[in-house]
Amino acid sequence: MEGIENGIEIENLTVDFGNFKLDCISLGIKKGCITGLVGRNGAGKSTLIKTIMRQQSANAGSILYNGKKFLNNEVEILNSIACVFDTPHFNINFKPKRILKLYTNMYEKFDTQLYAELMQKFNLPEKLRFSKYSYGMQRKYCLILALCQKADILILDEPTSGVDPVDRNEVVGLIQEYLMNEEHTVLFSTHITEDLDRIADYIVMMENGKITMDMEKDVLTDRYRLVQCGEMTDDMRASAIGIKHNAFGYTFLTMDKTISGEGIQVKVPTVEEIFIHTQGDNSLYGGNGGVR
Amino acid sequence: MNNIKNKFFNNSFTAYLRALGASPIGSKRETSFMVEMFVNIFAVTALFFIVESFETFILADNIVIFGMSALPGTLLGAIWLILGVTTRAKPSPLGLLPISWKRRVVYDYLGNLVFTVFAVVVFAVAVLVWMTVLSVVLLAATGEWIFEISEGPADIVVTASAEGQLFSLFAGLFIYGAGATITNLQDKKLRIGLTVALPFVVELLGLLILNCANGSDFAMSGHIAYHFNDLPLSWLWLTATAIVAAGMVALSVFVCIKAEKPNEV
Repeated sequence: MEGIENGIEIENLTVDFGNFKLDCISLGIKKGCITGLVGRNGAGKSTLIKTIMRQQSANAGSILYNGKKFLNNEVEILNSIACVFDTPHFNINFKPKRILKLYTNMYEKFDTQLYAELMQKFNLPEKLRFSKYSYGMQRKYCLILALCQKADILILDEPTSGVDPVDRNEVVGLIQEYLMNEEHTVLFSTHITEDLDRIADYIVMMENGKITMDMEKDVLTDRYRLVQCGEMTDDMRASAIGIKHNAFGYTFLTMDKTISGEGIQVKVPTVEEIFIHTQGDNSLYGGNGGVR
Repeated sequence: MNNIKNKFFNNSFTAYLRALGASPIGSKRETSFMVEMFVNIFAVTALFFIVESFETFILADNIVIFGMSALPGTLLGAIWLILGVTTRAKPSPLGLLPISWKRRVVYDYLGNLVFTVFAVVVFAVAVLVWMTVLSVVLLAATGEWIFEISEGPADIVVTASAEGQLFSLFAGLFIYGAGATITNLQDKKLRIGLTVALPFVVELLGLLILNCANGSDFAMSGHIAYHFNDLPLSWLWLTATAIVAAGMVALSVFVCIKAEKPNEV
C-alpha cells in the first residue's frame, strides 16, 4: 500500500438509472485524510457510496481500493472496507448479541474488546432489540460495528444524523482517532456540515449526479468570503455567488477579497455557507464566481 | 469429537447461513415478499376451489377436495417464495461479507437448499395438522372420519411406485430450479408474474399427466406419483422430466452466477 496516495480511486464512474445518472465521476479519496461529501438530497451521494460498497452496479468506469481492482481481490478488499449506511444491513429485529456474533464470524479482524468499550461509552443497552433503539442510538451502534471491523477504509453515510451534540462530539473524536493511522481513509457523507468544518481535510460537493467541487477544505474556505450588507452595489453583484435576501439585507459569497466598507460584514465562510450559496438555483443574481 | 462438532457448526458455510438468516428483509423487500407469498397462495387455492366447485356440489366433499388439492399448489408456491427471500434483488447486503463471489454462489445455492428442505418439513407438518383439523370438522359435521394421506378407498392402501416417486423428485428439482431462477430476476413485475403463473403452469401440467394416466376418466385431483405407472410410455415421461429438471437447475445456477459475479468496474 505504500506509494499509493488514494485509498479509493474512482475514474469515470457512471451509474445510470434512466431518470438519474451518476455521470463520469472521477475522484480520489486520500489516505490519512477525511474527505467530506456534501450535496442536496438526491445529488447522488448515497448512490456513489453504494456503488463503492458494491451494493449498486456501475455501468462504466473503474474503482480501485488501495490500488487494487475489486474483481479477484474481493476478499481482501471487503475485509479492508467498512461502511455505515443510511439504513442498517442486518435484521433490525436482532439484539446486539446476535449481531455481534454475526460480525465476529464473518470479519476476521473484528475487535470485540473495542466493541465492549464503545458500547459502554455510548451507553447502548445490549438486551434491547436494535429496532427499539432510538434513531441516534442506531447510528452510534452502526458506527461501533464499522470501527470494530478494523478496516483500512471507513465510509460513513450520515453517521451523526440524529445523534445528540454530546455524543456527536464523541463520535467525531472517534473518527479523528481512527485517522491517527495514516494508512486509513475516511469518506464522510453528511448534512451536518459543522462536523466537516471541524474535521474534514477535503470537501467534495455533488449536484445532480456530478461532482461540482473537490478541493482541500482550507483552500475552499479561503477561496471565498461571505459578505453581509444592507445594499448591493453593481461591483458586488458582478462577483456575487448565491445572493440571499431577507429583512436584514443581502448575504452572498464572493471570490473578491477586496470588498469592504461601512455596514458591510465580511468573513471566512463555513462549509455550510459555501454549500448553501453554491447549490441550487443561483442563476437569478450575479456571476457564478468560477465555482464550476 | 468436540473438534468435529465445532468444525461442523462453526465454519464459513454455517456463518454464511447465519448471515442469510440475518439479512434485512426489512421495509420494502419484506412487504414485497409477504405480498407475493399471499398472492401466490390465494391464487392457487382460488384456482382449485373454483375448479372443484364445478365438480361437486356437496359441501363436505368440496372442503375435503379443496383442502387436499390446494395444498400441493400452496406447498410449491411457498417453497419458491422461501427460496427467494434471501437471494432477492442482487446485489444483496450479503455482498458486503468478505468472501469471494464464487464461494458466495455455492453458499447461496446450498443455503437455499437447506432452507428449502427446512421449509418442506415445516410445511409437511403444517399439512398434517391442517388435514387433521379438516377431518375433525368433517367428523363433527357429517359423523364420518376422513383422513386421506394416500389415494384409494380406506380399506386399500395405495403407495406410489418407484417411477412415481422418481417423477416427484424430478418435478421437485424442476420447481426448485425454476424458483431459484425467478428469484434472481431483477425485474420485479416479471418476478411476481412468474411467481404467480408458475403454480398454475405446474398444476395444469400435472393435471395433463394425471389425465393421460387416467385414460377416459376425467380427474381433477390426485397425486401423479400414484398413477405414474398407468401413463403410456411412462419411461419417456420420466426421462423428459429428468432432462427438463436438469436443464432448469443448470439455468438457475447460470443465472445465480451471472447475478453474483462482480462486473469489471
